[in-house]
Amino acid sequence: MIELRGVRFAYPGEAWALELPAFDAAAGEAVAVIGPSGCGKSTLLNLLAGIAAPQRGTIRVDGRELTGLNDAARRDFRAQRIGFVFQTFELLDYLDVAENIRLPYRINPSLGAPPPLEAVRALASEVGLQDKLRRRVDALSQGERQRVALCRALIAQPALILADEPTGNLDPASGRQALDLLLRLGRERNATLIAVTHDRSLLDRFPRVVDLGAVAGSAHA
Amino acid sequence: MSGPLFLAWRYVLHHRLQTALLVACVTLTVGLPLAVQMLVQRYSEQLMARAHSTPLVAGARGSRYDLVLHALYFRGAAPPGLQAGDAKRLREEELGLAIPLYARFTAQGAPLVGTSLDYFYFRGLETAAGHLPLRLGDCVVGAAAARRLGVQPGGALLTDPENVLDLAGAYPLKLRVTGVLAPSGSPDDDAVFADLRTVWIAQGLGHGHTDVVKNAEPGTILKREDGNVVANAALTAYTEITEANIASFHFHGDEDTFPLGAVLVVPPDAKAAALLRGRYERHERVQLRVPVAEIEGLLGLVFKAKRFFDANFALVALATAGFLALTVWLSLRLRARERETLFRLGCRRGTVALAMAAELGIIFVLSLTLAALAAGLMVALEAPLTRWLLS
Repeated sequence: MIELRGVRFAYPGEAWALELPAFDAAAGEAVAVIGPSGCGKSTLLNLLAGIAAPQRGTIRVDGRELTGLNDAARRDFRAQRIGFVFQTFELLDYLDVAENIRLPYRINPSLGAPPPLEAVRALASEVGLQDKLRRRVDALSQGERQRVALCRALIAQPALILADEPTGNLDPASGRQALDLLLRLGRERNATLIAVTHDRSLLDRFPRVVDLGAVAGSAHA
Repeated sequence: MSGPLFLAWRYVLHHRLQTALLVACVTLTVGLPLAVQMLVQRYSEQLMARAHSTPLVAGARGSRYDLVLHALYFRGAAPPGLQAGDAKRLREEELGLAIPLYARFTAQGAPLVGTSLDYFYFRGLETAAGHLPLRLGDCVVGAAAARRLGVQPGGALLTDPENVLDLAGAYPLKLRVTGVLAPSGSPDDDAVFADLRTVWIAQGLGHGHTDVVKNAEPGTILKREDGNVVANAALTAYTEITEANIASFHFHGDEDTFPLGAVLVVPPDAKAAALLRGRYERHERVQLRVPVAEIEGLLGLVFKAKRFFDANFALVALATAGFLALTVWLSLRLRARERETLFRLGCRRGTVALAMAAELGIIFVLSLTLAALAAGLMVALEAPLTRWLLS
């Protein structure tokens, strides 16, 4: 499902570079990525999402070779096949819960028409938000907001879910609850989950944990 | 609704207060100068139209603007000193029609214009109901004044005393309304017209009372001398001219010395006009003016003042544009993460920019719509507003 080979990436003008000889994840697999600050965890997510392109090596996601695609094609691929969950949720406060969930369809014409409200309600019912679809997101609790973000990430049936500190802004109980939902819904949809986290108390919930600090080399040009 | 427009619409709906403030700023900045421009334009057109239809105006020496504004719009006081004899002498020149005007008084708030029937023919005024004033004490009311005062033919109007505290002044005269004029879109709509002699009676220059010699109560006559009879205050003076008492109304003194405000002079051709102007060029008491020239001079002053307002509007518009730019810039900075999130979710950066541009577009469309509505309202209210400006 995910296959990185001989990847090297450096931000323009910076001496630091991420060196990743190999990284793989199977379809439906959940992988926690840990490592010290600055080891390249967020950079790895950007590479997998096609937001950043490596200077060397290959990245294959869901059978597509990302390094061979131009910016527009990578963006379309991201819209169609990748779901995002952010630490600070990044919901739009001027949209209600239902419209936040449908947002990927509003901003990506390549996804087609937005799903009907019934489909949104069905998805929301899996995270217990079916009765709050017309609520403003700033009227929700932190845990509820993260569940809205989770629905937004899943609405377009992604093959890969990238989660950047998904529990970082939640209390421990809510964090565990949100993570369990993320793991369950990803598994049910056979979506690969790559979650970056600093919270070592949650690592036992992941079948696989990758310490990026150990597997990746960081080079100084 | 397309994605960018959907997001923009939801954004402005969610931030209603901020949007309303921005819309108000832009509407005022665009709409106010537009409304002022329209109003000034219409105002000057109205002023000039009336001036163009009046070849010459004669009046006593004094402010030429006062004279023309009084003669054309019945507003303000004409320079004092013009007499009925002056109108007579202008007629005797046989170089055109001379229509006397005397608009010193008001009837229930409307200018009371004493004139001759020639005035109605000259201005092309026709009655919508009733007939023109034919008899002493009759009046005809302009369309707007009739509506405001709620009068129609057969009704009555009272002249207003100049000073309610002056016990020796003329009593209000009850005027019989014989007609209502059809609307003309001019100051005539707001005036009440009567025969010149009726207005002189309202001023107290003429009067009617019981016959002192035949019908007076015993003791009313104080003395008789040289054919004159002096009566005391018990003598009944009429405050309404009726069929029964009209014969008792009379004037004391020489009517040629009775006052006028202005005389509209209508020469048959340019030569007659030039001759008349030449003859009155150095007249001791009377000035003869061309209204078009005077109103153009007056408007020149107005437009000079308007240039200051235009410059002021331009500066305000510039400041508003600056504030708007600052607001947009701050908003863009505050929403940098939102833009980045949309991009990560697969949105084109161009689409993100389009959504934010659409927000501004909505604000401008709302503002311009409101400004257009305000302009429409201004057009609808143009007639009363222009009348108010002329008052």
